[in-house]
Amino acid sequence: MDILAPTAPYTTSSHFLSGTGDSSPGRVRCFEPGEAARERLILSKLGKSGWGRWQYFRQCFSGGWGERRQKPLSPRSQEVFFSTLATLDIPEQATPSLFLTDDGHIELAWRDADGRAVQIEFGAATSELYLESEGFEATVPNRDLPDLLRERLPA
Amino acid sequence: MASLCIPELSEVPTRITPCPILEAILEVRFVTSTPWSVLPGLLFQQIRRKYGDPKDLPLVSLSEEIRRSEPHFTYLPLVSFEGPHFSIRLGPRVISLSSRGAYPGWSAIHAEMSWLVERIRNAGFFGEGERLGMRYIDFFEGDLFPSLRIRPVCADDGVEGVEISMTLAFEREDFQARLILNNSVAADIGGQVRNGSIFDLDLSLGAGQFDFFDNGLGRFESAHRHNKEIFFGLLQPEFLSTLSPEYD
Amino acid sequence: MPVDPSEDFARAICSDKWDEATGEMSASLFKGENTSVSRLALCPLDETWDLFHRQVEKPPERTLRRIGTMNVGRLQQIGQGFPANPTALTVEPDPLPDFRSHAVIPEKISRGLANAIIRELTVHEENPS
Repeated sequence: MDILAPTAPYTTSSHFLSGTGDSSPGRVRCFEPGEAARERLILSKLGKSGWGRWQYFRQCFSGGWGERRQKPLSPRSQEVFFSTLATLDIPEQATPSLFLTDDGHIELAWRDADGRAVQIEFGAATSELYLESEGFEATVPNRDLPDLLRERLPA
Repeated sequence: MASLCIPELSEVPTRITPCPILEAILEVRFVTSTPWSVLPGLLFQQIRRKYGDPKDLPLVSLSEEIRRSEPHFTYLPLVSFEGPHFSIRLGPRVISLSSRGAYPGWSAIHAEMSWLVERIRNAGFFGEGERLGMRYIDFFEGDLFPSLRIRPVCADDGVEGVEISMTLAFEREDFQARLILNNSVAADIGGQVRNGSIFDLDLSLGAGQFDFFDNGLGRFESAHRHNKEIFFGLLQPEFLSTLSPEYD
Repeated sequence: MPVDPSEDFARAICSDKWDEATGEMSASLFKGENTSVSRLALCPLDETWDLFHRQVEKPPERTLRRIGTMNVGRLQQIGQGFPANPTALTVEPDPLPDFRSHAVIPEKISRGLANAIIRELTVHEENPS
């Protein structure tokens, strides 16, 4: 049975599916437009571990989850996370961690050269920066996050 | 991702004959904390005046565990609601409106989407929009490539007479576009299977570029404008003139 | 009536809040309000593993990775002594039908304070046997 038949308005001569996905899952992956750039970015900035955490969150936390039906991974949180990641300078010696908060936000954390925590929680509308070294904690609208990071986390 | 240099027409037709549109789909992907088991009921309460009972699509027979473990299934619909002119398809993370049968025209689609947006709002399950997309699939008998202003080249010579399937992903202002061109497809048209080519264009926005209830309809309007500009911009002018273009 | 400061509590640390590759915990483990914990006086640590597996785990998306424990009195000291915003923290009993030892920390905890609590948390790994 072609399980996708009702959603496939045409078939090609090779009987490939008409969807955007890869017709034969395996070692080669096809991406939605723009996805390949995201995958490259997260791999280059957070390594295989960070990439794996992101895949885990997006695959497994898309609906209500946990004992209190916590919120699913927020698409807008992901957008802000990726746009920030593109310009963020994470020290080379740092090993970043990635978490999912109960509000469905991505949280990126690493330790500075003195072992003090640097944490950014990416929300749908606002984001939060925490710098343990300065005892600094601030929540700003997402549009102001780039300025805050430039000011507080200079390259 | 780069944009594609598409010729701009001074005037875009409002209608061509015969209408090549096989299907028009307006889709929004979303996240929700509401369990899938209650989503069809919540939506059906809102649309029952115009649409029939939810009908299971074949994917629903797979276990939730399998569906969730396979990324290909994430955004596929599991049930459909059929109305006289449109279908509404619903999955755990997607809802779409698509035309049934002959293309009813953009104003009819827009009016139906406008109605549906309010029904989705009232159903109360929509958490946050993830992707807003519009897909138009056009069908032409025969090989469309000689009639296009885009074509594959092999060693500086145009490729002709072979089966071609081509996908281009590019940016168009805020939109991500994915264009599939294929000159050897079989399509079901009015109950008859016909061979030919498709021009399958999908335009989408990411989560940060739309708010479904605030500006979703406006973003669909923009997608429709881009769709027409790309479609007509890529047809050879001589070919377009054979399609009896009408202008406002 | 709040839980006595002499008692200890346990907090489940699941895969969404624990990065196995770095061994780090998320501040969101304690940030916010109504943080769920279990009272070790009513359910000792070795039984709390089973309890948390039943109550908070939902494979594949969420698995229990560690348990963090702390004394209630120590939690209150950390809250009061937090320089940026001293906070009076309590642990309130909130028994549930299948989770008699359930309790909550009702107060809103800031990220900075959550980090201070996490620093002093005793983290336990499940015994493979």
